[in-house]
Amino acid sequence: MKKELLLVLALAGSLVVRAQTPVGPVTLKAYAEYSYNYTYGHFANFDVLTRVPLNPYFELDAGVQASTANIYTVSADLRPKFPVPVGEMYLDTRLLYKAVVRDRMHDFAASLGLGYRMDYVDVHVGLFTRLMSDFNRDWHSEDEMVTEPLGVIYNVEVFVRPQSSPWNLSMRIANYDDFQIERIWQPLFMLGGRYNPTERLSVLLEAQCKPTGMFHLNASFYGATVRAGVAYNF
Amino acid sequence: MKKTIMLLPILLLASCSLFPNLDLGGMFNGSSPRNDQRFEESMAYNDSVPSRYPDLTMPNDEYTIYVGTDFHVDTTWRTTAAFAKEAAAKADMVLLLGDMVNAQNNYPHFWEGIRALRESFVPWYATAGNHDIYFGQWSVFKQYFGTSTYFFTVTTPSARDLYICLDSSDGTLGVKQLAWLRALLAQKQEEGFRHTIVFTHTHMFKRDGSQGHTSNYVLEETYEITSLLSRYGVDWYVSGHDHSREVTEYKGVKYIIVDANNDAEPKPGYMMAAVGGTLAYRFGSTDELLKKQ
Repeated sequence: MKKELLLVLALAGSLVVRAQTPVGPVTLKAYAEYSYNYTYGHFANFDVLTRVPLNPYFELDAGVQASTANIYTVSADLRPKFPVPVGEMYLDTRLLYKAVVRDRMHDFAASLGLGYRMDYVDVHVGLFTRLMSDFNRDWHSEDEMVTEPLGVIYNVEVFVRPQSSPWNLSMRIANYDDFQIERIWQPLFMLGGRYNPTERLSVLLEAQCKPTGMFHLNASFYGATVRAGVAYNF
Repeated sequence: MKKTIMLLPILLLASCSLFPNLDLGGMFNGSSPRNDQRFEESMAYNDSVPSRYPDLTMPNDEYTIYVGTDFHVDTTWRTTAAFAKEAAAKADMVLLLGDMVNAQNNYPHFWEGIRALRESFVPWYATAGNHDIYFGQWSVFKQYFGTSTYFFTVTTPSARDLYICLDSSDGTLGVKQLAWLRALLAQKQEEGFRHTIVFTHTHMFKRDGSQGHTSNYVLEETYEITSLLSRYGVDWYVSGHDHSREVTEYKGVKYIIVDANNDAEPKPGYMMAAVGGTLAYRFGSTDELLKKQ
């Protein structure tokens, strides 16, 4: 009981401290991507993402992606934050909807996870599920929506510099990114770079490699993405 | 810290020797040729040995197929032999969906396990699973089975059925095999087949957690292949890999996962299908076969 009380007091204390800190700026990011994979060949994606700090305890990420592979994705991520003595803990509530127009199907994924981030590390683990359905599903047939059982979502990202640095590099392993949530055994390997030419503007360059068949199949390369973009803090 | 880093390679080597059947390398970077190369070698084999997996003619409009998968033969092959004996006695045709062997040097054991089938007149068709090509064993698979991608037809007095065998042992069809499948389905659509059945190792969907989340195709490939199969009226996509039966009907196609049939499996099983005017399936227990035999 004593431990629980101390935990509540610590949490309350951290919220009071947090309430005294100003809300961060709204960030807008735009990316252009070049991608290649075995299924679609060469294609391009265009992404717009925003981060809106709603108050000191909540931030909302939202994004849209249009792909020349004829796939359109929207994402939303509401993130309650819990300041701790070093860094920040957060809950990650992620929703992703993909209209796979080329294959006439919907893919809806949702996840809930707990994360911790500080200057050099961002780790996140949680659970997700997915629902896939045909655009023209015949509700009077045996056809089913495919719902996947709860799977694990994870992210480990390490940075070489503190977040306040005008430039940074990162390495990341995760089974999700801004516009996809893959199954647990489908890791994505990512490298990221950021440079701030001014206080408000950042230039971003990221690369991603997607293998297939890791762990339970004969592992093989599947696809890669390079994306370049800018972020502006209002 | 320094000591821990130095210990890591030793631990890795120790784990390799503790689990000699585990192709740790293959799980992270397969040592057999990539799917596109395997596909090319399969096509070359199909051209040079067309009699390996021939078209069939059945005397009746309805016939029975037996499907076995995930035999994982190691040093014993009781369940494989039981399935082969039953199939040789009762099936008109047999499909083997991969993971014939568990690790290295086991192909002769599997070959022995299916002796009853080999010595029967029942035609059987095979594809590769991930275990079949671990440890760079694609070349050994080829010695025994020749090819992992092909198609054949079954002609009955009043109908024709199309069977397409795919190699999905590294979790992707690759560029060339996917293009081949697209072209084949489009071309064969004109011929008015009664049923089209695709069989391969890797399952498409996973809706229960029976074996944890076994890896399968990446999402992009799941979208694309399911769309392709639906568009061209494929009836069944039959697979193994997950080790426990599951049937999902999605966009007009039945995705069937067949139970594993191996000696280590608590409930080894197989599938029987009646192919006629309609398609029907049921699952069988290999334990029952062992008791009976």
